Amino acid sequence: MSGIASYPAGSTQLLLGNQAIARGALEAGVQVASSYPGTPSTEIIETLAEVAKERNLYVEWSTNEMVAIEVATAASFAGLRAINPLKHEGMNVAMDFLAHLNLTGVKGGLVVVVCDDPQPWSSTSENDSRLIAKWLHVPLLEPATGQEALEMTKYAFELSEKIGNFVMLRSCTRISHGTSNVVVGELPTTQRTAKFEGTDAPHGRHAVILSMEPKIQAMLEETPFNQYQGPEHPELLIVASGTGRPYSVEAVEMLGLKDSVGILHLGTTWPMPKKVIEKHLPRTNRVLVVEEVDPYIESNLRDIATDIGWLAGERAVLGKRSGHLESVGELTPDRVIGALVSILDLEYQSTDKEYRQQAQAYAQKLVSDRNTVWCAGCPHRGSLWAVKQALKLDGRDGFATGDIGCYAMDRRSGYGSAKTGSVMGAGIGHASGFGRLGQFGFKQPVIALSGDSTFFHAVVPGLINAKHNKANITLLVMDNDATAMTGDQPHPGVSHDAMEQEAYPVSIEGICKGIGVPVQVFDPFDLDKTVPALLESVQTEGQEGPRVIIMKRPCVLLPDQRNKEHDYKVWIDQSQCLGESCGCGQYCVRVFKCPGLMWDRAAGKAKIDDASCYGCGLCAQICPVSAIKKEPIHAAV
Amino acid sequence: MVTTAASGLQQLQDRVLKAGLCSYCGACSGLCPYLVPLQGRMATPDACNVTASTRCINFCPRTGLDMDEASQAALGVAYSGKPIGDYQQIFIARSNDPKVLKRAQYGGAVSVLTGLALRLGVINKAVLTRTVNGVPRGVVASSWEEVLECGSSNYLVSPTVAAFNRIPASNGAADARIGVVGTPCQIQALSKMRASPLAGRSNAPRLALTIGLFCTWALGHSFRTMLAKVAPPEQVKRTDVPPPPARIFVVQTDQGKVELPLDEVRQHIPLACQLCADMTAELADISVGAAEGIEGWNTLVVRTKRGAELVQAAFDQGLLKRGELPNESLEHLKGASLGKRRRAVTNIAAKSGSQDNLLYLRLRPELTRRWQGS
Ligand SMILES: Cc1cc2nc3c(=O)[nH]c(=O)nc-3n(C[C@H](O)[C@H](O)[C@H](O)COP(=O)(O)OP(=O)(O)OC[C@H]3O[C@@H](n4cnc5c(N)ncnc54)[C@H](O)[C@@H]3O)c2cc1C
Ligand code: SF4
Ligand code: SF4
Repeated sequence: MSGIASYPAGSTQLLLGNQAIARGALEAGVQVASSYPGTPSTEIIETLAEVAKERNLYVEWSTNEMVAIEVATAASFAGLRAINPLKHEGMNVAMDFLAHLNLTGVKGGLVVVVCDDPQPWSSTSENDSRLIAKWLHVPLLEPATGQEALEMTKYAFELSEKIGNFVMLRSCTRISHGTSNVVVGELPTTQRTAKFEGTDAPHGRHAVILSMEPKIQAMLEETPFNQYQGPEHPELLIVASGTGRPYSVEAVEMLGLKDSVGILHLGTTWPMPKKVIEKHLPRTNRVLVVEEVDPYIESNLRDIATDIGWLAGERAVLGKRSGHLESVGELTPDRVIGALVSILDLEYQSTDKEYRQQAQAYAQKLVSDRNTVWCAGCPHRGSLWAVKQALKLDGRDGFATGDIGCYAMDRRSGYGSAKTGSVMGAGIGHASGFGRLGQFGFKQPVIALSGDSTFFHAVVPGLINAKHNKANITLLVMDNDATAMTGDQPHPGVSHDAMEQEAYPVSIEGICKGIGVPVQVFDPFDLDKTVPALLESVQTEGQEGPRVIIMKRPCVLLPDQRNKEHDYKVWIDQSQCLGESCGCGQYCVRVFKCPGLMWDRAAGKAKIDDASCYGCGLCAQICPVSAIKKEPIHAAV
Repeated sequence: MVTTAASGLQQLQDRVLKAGLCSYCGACSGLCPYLVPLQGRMATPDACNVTASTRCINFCPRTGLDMDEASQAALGVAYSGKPIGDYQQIFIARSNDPKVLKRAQYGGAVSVLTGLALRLGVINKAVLTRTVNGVPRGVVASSWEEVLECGSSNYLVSPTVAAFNRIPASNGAADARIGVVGTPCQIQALSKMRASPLAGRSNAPRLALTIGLFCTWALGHSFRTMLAKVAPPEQVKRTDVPPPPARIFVVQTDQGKVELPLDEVRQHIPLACQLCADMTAELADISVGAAEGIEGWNTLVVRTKRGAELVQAAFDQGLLKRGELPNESLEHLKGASLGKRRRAVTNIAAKSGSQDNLLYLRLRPELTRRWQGS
């Protein structure tokens, strides 16, 4: 036995929040898990995939989140327990289906884990998925620790079967990626047999699920997940959920407020545990709500407080709406301390201002100014260099419509061709639209960017749209054999699946050809070919419909790429390097910007950083005086 | 180095490229990755950060062309501003080789002289202009076959000087003797390069021969679309502008001759050509043009000693046949050339908004006045 399946019941394990969720699912007897990779949710599927074989699970990386939830639902319909972990942006993709599934209901326990990414650290957007539970009238659980993540996941499956609907579990980056001690429980010894016997149609079921809400509320009131901690009559009552709970505990301890501030821990946040709140509100006149992202509990609490007549006179519900906490960015213990200090009018200085400034200034000297960059040897550098060259050479203000993947870095720290970038598939959709603006005087060439995983996820419909509607654009598909940005998970184009079993590789080229779009395939490092091909494609005038260019080269972080020997030995002949002078102007380090290249200050010339260089040899193609030398390491190259 | 100063490239963009002064000669290109000639336009894919005195602004004839300095550097004399420049001899000539005449624009004098210069070792590399897929670009020829492949004129502007710049300084180029065939603006660029304080960072010291082509105007690459309607590029064998009063542009294709109305063709003349005051490549060792009214012959203007020696060798070896240029042709040529000067200074003044501001063109005041016709 291996991974999370090997832990004996009752033992204490050091687990990531996501691993705790996976173990909770396993203990609950989950049989099917499906998702699309997305930080910070990815490890849940990866952890389950690791033990899929020995636990006889079916675990898949699906084409996209909507397919993933539909796959998991099929298992539920057939009576099995299934889990569907998503990041908040993936939740949006799944929503079309979820907003009907709540009406249909489920059979086997189905848990949708949504991992929000406040700040956001690894996403394009920051949003609060909890509002979805309220909107869809499904139960919402919010763990605050690894232990709770496990317990709540287990409970969520039971609850789901009791109410005949799916249950949402909301995590966030710090819960999913935080590590803590977790006491694990028993693993089941039996499995269910799958059998489908039909489902309810969603029509006319709104009333049914509304009528369920009070029953669900009653059940959640009974759970051990909502607890009060503090004095009988605190000066201030903190109502907190998720990360807000440990942060509040920490803040209260640091400020020495244990005797004057109480904390109501809420673990079940839709439907709101009205009775629990009714019981604890009267302890005080002032409430501070501490929660991640939106004032969600705050608003709901205000409703309840008004309904029960508590909110009147001097009494107040404080939090984000009162300006004591912010709705933007990640919650931190410091922010909670700040709110408490301001509400209770305390003297508190976490760090001396001057000290902090000095420390920051000193620390800045120790770190070098670095932006997010593609890895040395990354194929995207070649692809997006060619995109930039082609668009700039063309000179008509052409641009790329970006998408989601490592290539999205082009917009912020790459070559800047991408001028849009929001959700997966939007690049081709935008391009398709731009490609039809000719009648309104639009003349700029457009290249839509896509990765390989993105292509399957959401680009195909946009491409079909562009073809059908004759949008004159180019689609660039950067095929690197993996869903690279989230950690090189497999996608439908590769020949293995999440469980490391053989899978059928679907051909991107084949799909394009099937749509009737002309396709060319290049090595992104063959700039002599890719720049002219892209230039020709963007200059195809009067041509109706899209062209596709596929750039094929594996991600350098794939295990077989990472461990292989370099293709070239690369070095710089500094006697030839022009450095800062006319003819170069630090072209390689300043414009091309591979981390394998560095600036030798003493010599005033570029040099190769042997520790970072991947030996791909791409930079040798762009040096204006061929001072960058490369020599094949294997005769075969 | 002042870091707030605009880079050389930025200055070139502001003063020349965006100002519409660029003649696409190619002198700024082939030196760095930041200036890429493409489709009749200098493309600038990336921003350069070099703020010190840069070669692009120093070599570009359109950032400022002091005719006295350029003339001193090219011909060793102050600029006279005479209608067809200073010269030692003027006559007509043609090749004796039917193969050359078949390939060349008119009398093939340019190809013959270039080939001979290579054979004699006067030069060992010739920068010529070759048309591929309808688009002219600079190439380096070192054999007679390569010279012949470049025969005949492409009326599109060509960044030929970039090919001169690209000849590597290392790999034995130290002993390179380079010849260049080019339009007047290209010869001007080479002359400015010779005079430049940065000449040492160019191939100018290795420039051993310049053959200039007469040029009234060239065409921007938008003309390619017009031409493509006549025939695909690979089928166009030759293009020509017969002398007035014919108002046509002749396109010879595999299928035969097509005549385009000259007025429509002229729509594609770039602004840069309308600001150009040199018709006869007055800074070249030898200038070559049509012999108006004498089909299959060239007018040759020999301006320097090395030009005269090369021409003499061509006669001695029986490669060229010589004829006299009729006096009325000479007068006509002078008139046409002066006409171009007048139009240029008028157009420049119209653009600058002042009779005294000739933008890039730096002339002695009396010449300015003479050309302005006052
Ligand atoms: C743009 C242009 C405009 C011209 N206008 C006139 C004019 O108004 N009056 C006139 O008498 N003559 C003009 N000429 C010159 C004429 O067309 C012949 O080039 C010249 O007479 C030499 O003829 P040839 O038979 O000796 O040439 P060839 O032996 O055929 O040699 C021609 C040479 O021209 C060069 N060449 C071709 N295209 C270009 C180009 N676009 N830019 C630079 N070099 C090029 C090639 O390198 C080749 O070596 C013009 C030429 C060009 C390129
Ligand atoms: S005129 Fe010549 S040197 Fe000047 S910018 Fe144009 S191509 Fe470059
Ligand atoms: S007219 Fe002047 S600027 Fe134009 S191509 Fe001829 S020589 Fe160059």
